[in-house]
Amino acid sequence: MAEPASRCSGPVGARDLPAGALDRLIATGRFGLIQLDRDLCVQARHGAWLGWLAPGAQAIQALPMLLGYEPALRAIAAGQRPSLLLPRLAWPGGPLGERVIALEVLPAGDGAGLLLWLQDASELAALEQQVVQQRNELSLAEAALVAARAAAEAAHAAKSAFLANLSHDLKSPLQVILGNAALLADEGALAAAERPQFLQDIAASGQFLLAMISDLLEVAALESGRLELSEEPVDLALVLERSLALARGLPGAAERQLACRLPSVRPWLLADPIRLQRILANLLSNAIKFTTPGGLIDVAQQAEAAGPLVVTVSDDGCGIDPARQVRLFEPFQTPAAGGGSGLGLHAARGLAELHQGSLTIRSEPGVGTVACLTLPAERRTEPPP
Amino acid sequence: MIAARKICVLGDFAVGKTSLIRRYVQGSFAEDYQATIGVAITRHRTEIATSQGPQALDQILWDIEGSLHGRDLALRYLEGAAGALIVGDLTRADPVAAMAAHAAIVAQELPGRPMVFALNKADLVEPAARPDGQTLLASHGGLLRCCSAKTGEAVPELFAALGARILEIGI
Ligand SMILES: Nc1nc2c(ncn2[C@@H]2O[C@H](COP(=O)(O)OP(=O)(O)O)[C@@H](O)[C@H]2O)c(=O)[nH]1
Ligand SMILES: [Mg+2]
Repeated sequence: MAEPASRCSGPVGARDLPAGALDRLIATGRFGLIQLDRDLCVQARHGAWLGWLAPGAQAIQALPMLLGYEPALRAIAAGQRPSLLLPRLAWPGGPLGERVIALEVLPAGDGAGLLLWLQDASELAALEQQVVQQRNELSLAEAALVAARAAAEAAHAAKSAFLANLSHDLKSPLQVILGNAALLADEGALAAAERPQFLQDIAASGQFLLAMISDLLEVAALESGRLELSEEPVDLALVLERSLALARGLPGAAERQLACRLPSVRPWLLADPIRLQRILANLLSNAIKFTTPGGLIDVAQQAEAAGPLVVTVSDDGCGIDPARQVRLFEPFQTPAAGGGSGLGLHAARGLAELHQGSLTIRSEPGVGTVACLTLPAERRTEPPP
Repeated sequence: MIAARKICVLGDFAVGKTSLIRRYVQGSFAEDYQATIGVAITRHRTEIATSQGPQALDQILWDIEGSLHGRDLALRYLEGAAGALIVGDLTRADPVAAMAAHAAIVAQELPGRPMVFALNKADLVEPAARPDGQTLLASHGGLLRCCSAKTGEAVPELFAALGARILEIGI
């Protein structure tokens, strides 16, 4: 191989190189040299790890990393471009194995073709790899911290806003109750015909307060892990029927169609009937809130005799826009319209999860919303004798 | 002879470039993260459905280190590519803006070359929380998909669409 080495001029700086120096360099196993002719065919290759490269082969085909660089290679051969350097190049699974190389393309001189100078850069690349890896992991961790902090701040802001709203929400029904009670107590203040309406308003405000406080207590118990289910065999269909009956009494229910589809075989399950009913009451009151009068609300229980128990509450209401859907189950997210504590869905999901079940919501703006309560198959049980 | 084309895969570090190529070529996935240094190339022969019927294509995939920046480096590795797959990470703050920066370099260095856009890690992000990325398509055309190197969702579709665009416009 002495001949090509001694012919190497400028590019490798070999003009003053002692005879055989290039041979000795290549014999270290850290370098390789490929000579290409003017047609970019392999003329010769030198280096322990280049034995697979057949002389005469089209370089672009044998070395796929050169694909796309033909114009550059021709420009270099013609002396119109000084060189091309690809400092870190791996071809895993190829004939270079796991090696990382630095590849430099230089003119062979006198329009005679090209020299490809390859250097095994695996060791350096391994060091670089560690540094880059650590730097990347650090900056990912930092980004995660920033995001976690932003989320915590948002949660804190939501909680503050919630508390501000809460005092207002508790105050206004109390004012109704106290004001109406005072008027009712004052013999001459109201005509007899007016009295029932004032009493009804007191009852409605009381109901509202009760629901709100129940939500609050339930969430507080859920969050602190204090809430315990009191489980018993439950007739699921009966719970659905009761929830529907209660929902029919809610404001706005009369103007909407509430349909219920139950399978002929009534499944029994081990559950906390009061909590189950609270989940359904929440889904139903949301459905009523977010449909317009005349809207259709459909409660259905899937008929499968085995496997998980699935109950859906669907409506054809305004739907929930995607940005809000993401946060639906977070606490303190007051619904966009219709009021409410903003805790209901959070509590409902918590209660479903206490039953080892799940609660999900699919919604399409303008089409409607489907809430899906799933309870695990293990909760199925025999009806009591 | 089978056509061969250079395809660059670009995106910020750890968005899943290496994982997408591995899923596409080997059909596998690894959870651990190994930063890529420089560029790793993979040759993958496939059949692409084009409007003229199926056509064989050797895709030379360039998996380019995500933390590289600077015009010189980009130029060096992008040179001669027929198209690019731009990858973003749906779990990051603003993946579309990051992808737009990579797309702008491709548009400048490889004018007229097709791009497709992969919003990766879809397995970790609910559909409702994904950005739509229409601005990328408005600026550069091509195809945009939410995908997952973990589940394989939409991965072959992205590479096939890029291959088809490259063959159809005859680059
Ligand atoms: N869950 C999930 N993780 C992914 C996905 N794609 C990549 N990852 C992970 O993200 C990290 C970075 O992936 P990698 O392919 O090395 O990213 P690159 O730097 O762009 O090449 C690795 O830990 C991968 O396991 C995906 O679709 N889903
Ligand atoms: Mg990588």
